[in-house]
Amino acid sequence: MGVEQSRAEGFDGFVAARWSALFHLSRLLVGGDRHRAEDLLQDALVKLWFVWPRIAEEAPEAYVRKVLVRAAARSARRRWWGERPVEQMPDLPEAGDVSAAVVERSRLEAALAQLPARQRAAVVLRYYQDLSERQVAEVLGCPVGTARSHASRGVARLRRLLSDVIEPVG
Amino acid sequence: MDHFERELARMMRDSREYIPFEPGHRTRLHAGVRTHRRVRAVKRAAGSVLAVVGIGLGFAYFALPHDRGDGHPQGPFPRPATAPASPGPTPSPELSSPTESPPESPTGPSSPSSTPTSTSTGGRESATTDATSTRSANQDENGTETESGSDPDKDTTTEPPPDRDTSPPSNTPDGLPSHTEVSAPASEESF
Repeated sequence: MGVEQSRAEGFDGFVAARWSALFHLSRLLVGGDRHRAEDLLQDALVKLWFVWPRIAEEAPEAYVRKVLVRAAARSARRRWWGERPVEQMPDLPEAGDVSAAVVERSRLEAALAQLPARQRAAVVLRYYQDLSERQVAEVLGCPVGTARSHASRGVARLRRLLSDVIEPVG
Repeated sequence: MDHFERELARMMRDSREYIPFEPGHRTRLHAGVRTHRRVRAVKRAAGSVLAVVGIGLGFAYFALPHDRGDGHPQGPFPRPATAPASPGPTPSPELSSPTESPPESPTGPSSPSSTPTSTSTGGRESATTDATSTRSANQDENGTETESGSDPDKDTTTEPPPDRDTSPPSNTPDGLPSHTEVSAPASEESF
């Protein structure tokens, strides 16, 4: 019981400390869908729980990141995520949402959503997580050249999609 | 990293909003862990059941050919046939019993208890039938060891006369009945 208790405490501490950052990563990886992002993160953390005794002292966040990226790529191939139409929208936009930051975030997420899953993952890992190309390739489970190609193609497409938001500097 | 890439990285970081780890998240996470644990237990149980079934099927697979061999007449036939064929060096118990029966047969009708085939006929011919059966399956080695007959099949009819010379009044007057008696116990023994 003592071991289990300490395990649970350590796990809960890690999740509480990193929840927000991991949730944002998950949200970027799925292209802005908040509910899918939370489902993805919950699944990744459940997997983390079962390997926690081995991973806790090493790099639990890297493990969650890898699980998230691969699960996001898998879920992007699915056509249906169990969503059902409802009478009323569950999340109505609030008045404070109409801010420049929210508009910018919405544009970014909409642009990311148009990328293929692996290109999106490569871009997010490269520019949000600041991983090297080798690390991106390792997380994606592909050669370095392939990871570089995914990232450059994703950035090229985002450059077109976000041309009105990010003005080129002359 | 050009201007667009720097701006892209900045947008990704700035769009992050702080979302605390609420009790609802915690309960859902723990429920997910319990469900996953249950699924794992079910998978493990199903795997063990499948393993047991597989082992059972494996045993059945290896046990069935033995049953089939007992059912068929040809299956066990060569085994007892080779047993008496090996003259001396193989001291297996099955081999010694047919070779021992001929010496018992001259003593008289007490031999039926030694061999199961002797119940149908008299003790003397039962010994000969065993010898013939083995000889028919095997070849020359039997004849050299047990009795005088070296020919495989026809000597079975010719063998009894020299034996009968030693004990004429015992059983069969003709050669034909002895031949029929020979064939019947041989088939019985095969099963």
